Amino acid sequence: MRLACGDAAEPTPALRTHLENCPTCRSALRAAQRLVSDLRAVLQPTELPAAVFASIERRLRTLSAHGRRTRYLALLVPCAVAASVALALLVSSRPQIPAQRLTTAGTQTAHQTEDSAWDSPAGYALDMLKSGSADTSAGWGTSGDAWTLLPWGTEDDWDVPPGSVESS
Amino acid sequence: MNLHPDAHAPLSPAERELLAELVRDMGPRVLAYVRRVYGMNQDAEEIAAETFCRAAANMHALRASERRDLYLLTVARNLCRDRFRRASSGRSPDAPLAEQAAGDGDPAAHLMREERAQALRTAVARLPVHLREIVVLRLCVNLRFEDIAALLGIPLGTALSRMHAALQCLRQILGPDYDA
Repeated sequence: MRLACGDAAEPTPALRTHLENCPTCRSALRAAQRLVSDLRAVLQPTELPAAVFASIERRLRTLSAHGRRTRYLALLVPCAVAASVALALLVSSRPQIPAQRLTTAGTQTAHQTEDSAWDSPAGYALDMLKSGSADTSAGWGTSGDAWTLLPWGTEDDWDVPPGSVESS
Repeated sequence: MNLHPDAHAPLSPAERELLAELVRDMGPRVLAYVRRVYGMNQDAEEIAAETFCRAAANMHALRASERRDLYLLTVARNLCRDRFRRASSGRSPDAPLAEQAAGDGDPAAHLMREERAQALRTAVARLPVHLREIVVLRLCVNLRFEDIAALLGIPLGTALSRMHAALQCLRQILGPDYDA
């Protein structure tokens, strides 16, 4: 079949020997080759019409317009996602003040205040102020708990509220 | 004929050149395959154009393909089967178009050749599609049997036996007068 269809240029030695000795197969091969040759001539592809080129160009233009839209979308989507993530991070990093802490701030000890102060700087400052106000409810410098927590302590010569530190 | 450069902005110049070369080289064969196998005279040009546009849309796959001719024919084949299935179930292929060869010499001999050619085209069109496809791929698209087997996803022996069956079938359709 390969030989009849021109897929093999030369018959194998065994086939050649057989064809030399068998007139039936030789004539069958010739008839098949003739039919194949006629078919090949009839089925030969024709030149591509200009309309097909025009159609390809038209379709490619549509494709490129669609591609541009897709490219814009491809840029917009990551931007939108990044903005959403940034917003979510911003919201989650805000100081969270539990309601319980706000209501029991007056009874907190300095130790509790130190533990909870690591939540955030804002939380630290808020806790310090709360514990200080709790202690100063009895008057400035009388308790000393909040006062000793102040960064400058009581030993230096900074200006302090009058009458708050006993003169030594 | 070249494709207009503005027609496909997403493609690089090298890709445009590749596509234009493929259209020039494979376009006639894709069109002939669609026409001869599926008999879609009306839709053949549209399917051929669609084939190359699909290829352009998946240029990375086309470039990666070692056998671009088989890639394009596979796309065309899938498009044809989709179209044929969608258009009408059980619709028979269109009748083969009468094609006029360039006439030279004796008008009577030319007429006889034309009749013979038309008889052959009609006989090919009357073959079952699985046999017709082998004939067209081998004798029109000029693929080797190994490539035909790869394209159709069948063993090489099946491709060869289908070709043999197709020739037998054609001989029956054409009748004893053809060989005379």
